[in-house]
Amino acid sequence: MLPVLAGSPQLHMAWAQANLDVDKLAADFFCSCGCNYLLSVCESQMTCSVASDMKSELRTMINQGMSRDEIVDVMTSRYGNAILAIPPMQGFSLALWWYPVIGGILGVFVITMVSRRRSGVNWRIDPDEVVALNEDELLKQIDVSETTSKPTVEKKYDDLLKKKLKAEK
Amino acid sequence: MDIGYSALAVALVAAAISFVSFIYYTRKQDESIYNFSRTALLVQSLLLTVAVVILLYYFLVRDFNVEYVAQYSDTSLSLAYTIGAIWGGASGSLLVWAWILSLFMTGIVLRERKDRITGYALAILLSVNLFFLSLLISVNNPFARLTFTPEDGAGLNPLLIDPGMLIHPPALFIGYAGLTVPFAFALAGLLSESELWIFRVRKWTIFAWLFLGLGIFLGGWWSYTVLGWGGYWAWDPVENSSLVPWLFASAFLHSVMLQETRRGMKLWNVLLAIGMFATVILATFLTRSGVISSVHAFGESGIGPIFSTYLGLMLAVSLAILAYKFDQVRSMNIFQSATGREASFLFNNLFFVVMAMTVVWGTLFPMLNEAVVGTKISVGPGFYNAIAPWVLLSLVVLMGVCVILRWGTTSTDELIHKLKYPLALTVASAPIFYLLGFSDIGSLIGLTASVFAVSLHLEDYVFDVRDYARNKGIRIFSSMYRILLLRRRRYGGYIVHLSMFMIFIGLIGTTIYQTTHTTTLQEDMPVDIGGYTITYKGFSVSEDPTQTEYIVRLLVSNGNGGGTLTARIIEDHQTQSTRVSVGVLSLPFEDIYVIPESIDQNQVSLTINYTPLIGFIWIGGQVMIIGVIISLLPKRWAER
Repeated sequence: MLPVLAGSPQLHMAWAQANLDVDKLAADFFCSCGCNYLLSVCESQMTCSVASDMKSELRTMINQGMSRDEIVDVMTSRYGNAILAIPPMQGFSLALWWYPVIGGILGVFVITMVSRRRSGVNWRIDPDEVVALNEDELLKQIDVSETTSKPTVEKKYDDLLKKKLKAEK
Repeated sequence: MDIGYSALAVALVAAAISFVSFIYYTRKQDESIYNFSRTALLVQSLLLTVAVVILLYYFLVRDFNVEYVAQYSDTSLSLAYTIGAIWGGASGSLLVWAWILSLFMTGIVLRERKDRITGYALAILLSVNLFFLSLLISVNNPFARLTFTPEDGAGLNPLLIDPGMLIHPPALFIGYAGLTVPFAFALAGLLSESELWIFRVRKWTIFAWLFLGLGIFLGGWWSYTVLGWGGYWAWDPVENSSLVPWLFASAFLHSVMLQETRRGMKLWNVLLAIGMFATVILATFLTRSGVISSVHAFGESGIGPIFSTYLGLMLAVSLAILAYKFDQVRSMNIFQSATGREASFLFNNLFFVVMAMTVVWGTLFPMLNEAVVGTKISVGPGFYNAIAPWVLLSLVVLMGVCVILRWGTTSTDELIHKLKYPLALTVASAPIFYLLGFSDIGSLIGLTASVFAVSLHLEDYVFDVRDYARNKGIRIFSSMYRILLLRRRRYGGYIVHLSMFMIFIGLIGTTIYQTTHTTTLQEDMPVDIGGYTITYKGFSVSEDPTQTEYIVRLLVSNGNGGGTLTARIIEDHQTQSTRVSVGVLSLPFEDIYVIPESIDQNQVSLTINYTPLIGFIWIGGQVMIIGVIISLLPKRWAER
């Protein structure tokens, strides 16, 4: 199970737990030396000696038969939460994980609302035609009011509609 | 006073005069005022060009009395990197950015019609350049002089001494500066109460989108081929911040069509234009402030707070203009049917914007967490990798479907007619991919979705070519290129879509099928690793006063071929640090990627990655350029 399928962090973690491998586990932690590289990258970059020590610690814990969660607990208690490359789905970090989900739901809601408004849909011009016209030709074909003195066509319609509604009342 | 600094100071005055004069023009609409404003603008552009040339001259003659030159170059730097050192630090980068923005303004003033929209747009662009020029003559003066002249400069950061440095930053600057143009035109449209801006802004946005995309792409290539930052993309905050405006621009390039066709999405388009520019400024803030830890730490300088203030101010003014002119963004309804192209564009915008906002959220979240909870956390690739694949997959399927949807509505019969062959091909491709070794279910879904999308694009083209040939009574071959040029906006877009499918396939290969092997090899002792026989052929040493390079040679072979690759361990004497330069051997469908870790008398320790399908990403980037060029072809060339 790899990232394309492992959409949720739980899945990702479950997969990691079943296949504990020091190289893969090293990609779940940042190096604590302040280089901002993942442990796996920092070690290969040779930017510090901390990375190889941290990786040795991971190797020792895997050999001792510790689970991924236990290793994460040990590492975060030693180096702080900032070394975790994937924030846990708990506490305030829930806001991180729920944000895209809520954003997506809100977006679908807005699209649904937009899709319900179907009255008075008008065609103006095909985008393929736009590139085939220079601005003079374009202006002849479409309405784009350019001065403040002239209301746009839509505004005219709106005003007419308002008057009509008022008269009906 | 330094001549370069004087040029900047006068450019500032010229920009201010031009700004005031363009605003005056928008009130009076007198052509002579426009012409005067234009002259002042051209003077500003000329003086900024002069300033860039003078700074370049200082770099070339190694004038280490100029603080910026002493900070970012030294006598050992080659000609190419001496030129590239201009954007090695914040002041030079700002100067180049302001210069590029002035070139965009020059293009607009020479090309666009003399009217209120152009007047307002140029005034807004000038206001942005006034901000940059104010920084350049105060806190970020690239011409500031030292009280003494050092014998040599401090030199360019060794990480930046690479061909990537010559193209990646300028491409980003063109993209960033270019995305100011749709922002300026959007506000100009509001202020002049004209919708014409939406038709005018397309070409400028595509141009900026291309360069920003190229900048991101070249950064990925640089990171992958040289730096060994764990691949081509690490979801580092600075990388993320360049991706966000590109995502907004991608959404914008689609949603403008809804305003063109249906007079809808007016508010949305203005918001996207503001979003693009705001995130460009945010990107600069994040790169330069260092508030969020990044591997791009060399970009940090003290101008972060100024940019955050500017961001706040710019957002407040833009939103105030939007509120003041809100009646200008009242849209007409756009939606006729769920099977209309409009629906697919709405979803496309949803995916782009949710992804953009998620990247912003993930990038800023550590800062927010610290403020709210008080503890430091990091948001690494795992977060984005959990979300991005879903968004990408959705976009690929959507890109496929959207090409067969007509504007307005598409009949069920037509949908079935157009879907049947691509669907059959998609289903048939799954077992073939499986037999080729793509056994992971995620990759199978991704690859078959790509087949679906590509086949729909090709089918649409084939039908179009056939129909055009019949209607015009011309040969199929002639129809093939004529239709491409005639409907260049659509087919340019389709070719960009194809480039995205290629990149998507590359992403599948590299994220799912990359394998890593850490090993130690003895000299001349072949070892079988992951299907390849790898032989360490020893190392050579290349020494110069600044660094010692240990060049490791490996022989790689399998049944189908192979080759030699070299990787380097570099000891930098000036910074007393060691870094690596990776070795890459590109085979047709796979890269062999070697990161050396240590070398001994006759053995080497290294990490070897086998990265399948990565070539698709690099080819995809080039196809993207072709698509954009086709879509931007001017009428007189395309319709001869």
